[in-house]
Amino acid sequence: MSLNSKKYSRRSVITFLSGLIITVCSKTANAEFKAGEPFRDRFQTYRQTFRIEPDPEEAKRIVKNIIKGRELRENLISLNAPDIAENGNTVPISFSVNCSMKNDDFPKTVHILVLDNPFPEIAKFHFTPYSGEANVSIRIRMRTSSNIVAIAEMADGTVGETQSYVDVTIGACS
Amino acid sequence: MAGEERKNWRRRLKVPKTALVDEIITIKTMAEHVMEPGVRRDPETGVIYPKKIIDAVICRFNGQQIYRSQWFSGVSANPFMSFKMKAVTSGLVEVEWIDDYGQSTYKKAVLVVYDNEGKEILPIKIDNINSNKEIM
Repeated sequence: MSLNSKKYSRRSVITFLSGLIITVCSKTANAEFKAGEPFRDRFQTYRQTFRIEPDPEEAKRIVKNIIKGRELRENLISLNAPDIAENGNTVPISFSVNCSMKNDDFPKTVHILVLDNPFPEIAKFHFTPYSGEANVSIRIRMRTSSNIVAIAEMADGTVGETQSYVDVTIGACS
Repeated sequence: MAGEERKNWRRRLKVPKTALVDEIITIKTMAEHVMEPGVRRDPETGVIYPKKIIDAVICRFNGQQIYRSQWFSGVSANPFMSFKMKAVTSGLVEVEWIDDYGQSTYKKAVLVVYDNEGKEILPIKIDNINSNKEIM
C-alpha cells in the first residue's frame, strides 16, 4: 500500500483533534466565568490578586449583575453597621431579613459588598427554611470609608437592597 | 502542616446545650486563621504573601445542610460569625470550615431539645421500629 491510498493522513487527524479540543475547552471556560461575574475560578483569582487599586466601575458591574434589572422591594433587609470604625481590619456588621422563613418566603442568598475595596465582594450567605431566622453577624475588612451594600435574593425571585456609609480612620490592606 | 501554622487550625463553636421546641437558637463560630488577602507585601524584600483564606463555612444538623456561607478575601482575620437555627429535634450540630487549598476542619456539638411537658424529642421515632434494618 502506498501513502496516497490512505484514507486519513496523520497530519489531518492531528489538526482535527487539536481543533476539537480547543473549541470544547474555550466553550466550557467562557460559559462559567464571564467578566464582572462575582464568582471567579482559581486562576482568575490568582491573576487578580495583583490588582491592588480599587475599581468602582467593576463594583457597579457586580451589583448590576446580581440585581439583573429586577425591581427592588422596600424594607426587606436591614443592615447594622457602625458610623465610625477606628480600625478597618475588623468592622463588625450584622444584617437581618424580614420574612417568615416558610415555603418560598426565605432568602436564598444574601450578598455583602464594600464598594471601595479592591475586591468588592466580601461574603455570600445561603439559607434554608431550617435556619429559623436570616440573621448573621460577621467582621469584615475595609480599606477606606465607603458604602456597604447588602442585597437579599429571595427564593421567589424578588430582590431587596440596603446601603450604609461607614467612616474608617485607619484602613486595612485588603 | 508545619508547627508554625498550628495557630491556623484552632476552631471554636458555641451551641446552647438545651432548647425548647420551635425556639430560635444562635450558633457562634470562630476560627483562628490569618486570612491572607494576597495583597500584602513583605516590608523588607517586597515579596507578596500568597493568598490563603477560608473559602466556605457549612453548618449541618443531623447530616443535613441547613446553612452555608461563601467568603472572599474581605473577611477579617480570625473570622467570627454567628447565625440562627430553629430547634426541631435534638441532634448533632456540625460546622465545617474549608480552606482555599481544600483543607477542611470541623467541630461538632450536641443539642438536646425538650417538649413543653419536659420530654426529650428524639430525631427518630423508636416505637415504630421493628427491626435493625430500619435503624440503619
